[in-house]
Amino acid sequence: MKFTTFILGLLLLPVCVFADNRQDAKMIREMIWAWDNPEFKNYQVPAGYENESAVILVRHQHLEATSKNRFRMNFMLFGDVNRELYYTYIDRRMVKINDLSALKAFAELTFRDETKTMGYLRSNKLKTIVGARVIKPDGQIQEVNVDDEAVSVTEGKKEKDALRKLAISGLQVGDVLDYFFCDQMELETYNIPPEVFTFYSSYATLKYSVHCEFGNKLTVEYRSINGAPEMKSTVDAEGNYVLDAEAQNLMKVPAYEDIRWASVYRSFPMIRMYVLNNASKLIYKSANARQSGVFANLPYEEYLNDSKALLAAQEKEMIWMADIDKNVKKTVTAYIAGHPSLDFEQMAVLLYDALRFHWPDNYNYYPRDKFVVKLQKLLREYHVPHQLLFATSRFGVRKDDVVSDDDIIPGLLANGKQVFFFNNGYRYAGEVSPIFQGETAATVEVVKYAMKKNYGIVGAIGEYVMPVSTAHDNLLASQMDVKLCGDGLQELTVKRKLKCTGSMKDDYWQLLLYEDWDSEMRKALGIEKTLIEELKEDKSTRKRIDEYMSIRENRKKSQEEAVQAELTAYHEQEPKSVLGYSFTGVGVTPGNPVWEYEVSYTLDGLVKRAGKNLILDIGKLIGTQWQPNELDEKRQVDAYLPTAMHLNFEIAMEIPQGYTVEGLDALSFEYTNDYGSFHATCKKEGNKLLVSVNKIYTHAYVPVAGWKEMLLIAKKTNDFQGRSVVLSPL
Amino acid sequence: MLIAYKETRPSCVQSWNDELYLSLDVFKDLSSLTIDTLKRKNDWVFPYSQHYVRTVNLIVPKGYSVKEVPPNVTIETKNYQFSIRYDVQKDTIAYRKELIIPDPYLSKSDFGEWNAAVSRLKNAYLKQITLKKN
Repeated sequence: MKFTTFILGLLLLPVCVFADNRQDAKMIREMIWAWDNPEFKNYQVPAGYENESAVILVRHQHLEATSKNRFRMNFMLFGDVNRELYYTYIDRRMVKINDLSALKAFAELTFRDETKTMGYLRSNKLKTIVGARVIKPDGQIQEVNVDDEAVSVTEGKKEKDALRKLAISGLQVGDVLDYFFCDQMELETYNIPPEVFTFYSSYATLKYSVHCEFGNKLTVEYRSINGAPEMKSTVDAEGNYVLDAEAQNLMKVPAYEDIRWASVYRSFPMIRMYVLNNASKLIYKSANARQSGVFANLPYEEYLNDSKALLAAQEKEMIWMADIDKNVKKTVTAYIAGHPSLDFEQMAVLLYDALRFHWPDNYNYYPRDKFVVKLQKLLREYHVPHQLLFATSRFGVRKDDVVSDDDIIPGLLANGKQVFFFNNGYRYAGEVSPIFQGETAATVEVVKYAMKKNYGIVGAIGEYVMPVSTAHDNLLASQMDVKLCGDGLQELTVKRKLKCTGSMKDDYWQLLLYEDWDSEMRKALGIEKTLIEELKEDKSTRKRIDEYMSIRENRKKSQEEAVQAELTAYHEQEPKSVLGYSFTGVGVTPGNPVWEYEVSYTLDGLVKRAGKNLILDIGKLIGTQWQPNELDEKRQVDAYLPTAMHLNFEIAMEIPQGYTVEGLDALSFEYTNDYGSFHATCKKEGNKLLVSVNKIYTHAYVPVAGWKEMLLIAKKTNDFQGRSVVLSPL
Repeated sequence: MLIAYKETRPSCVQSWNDELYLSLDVFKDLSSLTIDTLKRKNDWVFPYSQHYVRTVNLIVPKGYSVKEVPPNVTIETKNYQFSIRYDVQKDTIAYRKELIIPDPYLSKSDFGEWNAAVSRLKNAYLKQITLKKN
């Protein structure tokens, strides 16, 4: 009898849980719809917003978090008490739909209704409840039955992302959509996800407010940046921290992906907030982590100490590094034997290259901080003068605006001028990534690691301004030999040689294979064995050589497709055929810093026929260029280019026998302003038409006041792109 | 649905000496639909039957006369019919393009014929009208 009851109980359990979930969701919806906020009861849009696609009448974010001691049995059946975090996040918006574009944008809501992630012997749970109702122009309110109408879908790689999609039934232009997402989390091993309260929007927003209530055992750190309002901080009767902020008529900005060269964290008003469960023993934190309390606008030095202390903690965890150490030293020793008079700068490059070459690609087990500590130890062992470097990114917050050690990226400075970071793409040793150029980083001498101290590392602190590259350091030089061929001379054969330096290489990394990098690094480090030879030596890898060879073949095929895709993007049309390609330089070592690539192909569509004359759209041979659109014309924020840059095109076109070329005057351009230039010249030399084009952006940072000058450079370029030459029979 | 708009397209006109070269068709329908016969393993199915008619009337500017218009093109197969016509009257040139694909299904065995037709269309799109200064 007891057994039957037990089985029946098990069978009924999902039904009960299902019913409970629905009941909870219903209760939460009722509670949120009943909010005593007059703005959510006013459905009228003031005059002046008729031409807006949608108007957010009001948006309110409500956050509550508290931590509690709780006894839990983990799946290993050990029980203990830990301080768990309970978190509720509600984001409610009321939107007036003014046109079809807005209707399309708001007609569907996507959310993840339940998820569970495992930490170390622990679990974290998330549940999302969604509510939506449509307010008709006559004031009638139609609530959407989310529980029944939302459908489950899978997305992403291997369709593993399980989501729910809700189509808002009955929503029409002229209606107001009132909807919210409510996330409820129980977190054992994680902090609350970092919050960013954005005081800007891609839709006109009349009113925006944030209200937070946090238990007094939590640590709350935040900062208002780029002109966002300050939060008002109080304590309620129960001792909870209460924070509020509000604004009206938010700055309207286009969607990020539509803004060219934007640095969001440096341009748009926002409040960044971290709510930390520092009282939990299961959450990894710096020795400098603050105890409970509310901390607004902490100085940079606090977060620098966090970074230092976290780095120091890694120093004690350098286990499983013996193999890496052995391999690096073997490579370094052999290299020094062949090059006995290395100076300190060469030594720094050697150590960095050897370490990154032998560093495993499993970044979970071998993360950035371990790499930095290991490199520091190697530099010390080989007596290379060095300091640790703590830098911010140009595309993250400014140094004085940091709110977390996540904003600070550790690296090394050797010999007072060489900069080394962990993940540096395919850049060569010491090449400074565009994200760091011009940033003022903190330097730290390492006298001693002291992981239990709040300062983390004993040693003098200083500053280092990262070097800024010029336009000529970031050069894309394209040399094109062009011939008219095919039926009626309406096809082009193009031989294009490309040389890139600095940041201009970044766009071509997709063409590079790991094997190209590997073989170049072996050459630079004096490693005689090839990757295959090394794989054959080791018992564990020998068996997998066939598998590796097959992967390599697939990568080669992908490279062919990438070459085709690069040409398609360059010409905005597919080449007729790719005749061949080769790489003469991959630009990954200081001895070979230039990316060089050659590709031959045929192309049609650029030669038109008018009677007996041929018209060649020669301007189009400089490829796709930025064509400013309406959003560019109305830009309100500063521009952060990756770097200053120089694009150079040298086109040599063979004039077909029996033809002469005319219309050359139209190809001369000479334009310069404070932010760059566009120059083009053209001449005939024997049977060749030679066209030389140079487009230069001289600044990596362009304040909005200078943006019009950038538009003018772009427009001159577009003007040139529309130019043609006429080939007429002699 | 009717959409009316005005636009300027300087790239459609080239001038050289006392001649103007013009291209009236900016849409170049189907020109990118060459089928890669090496990669494509299956028959081709268009999303639906199609019938494009595009007409463009060019008023010859004062002081110019028509020197040359491209030849007309007619392609007719069992699966589709394409035609491009230029009709020159006193001071206007009427361009009419008609592309009819009644059956959206294109068998793999017809790819060669289709590619040849697209190639002829592309070639026609590259041919310019020549106007001469009087």
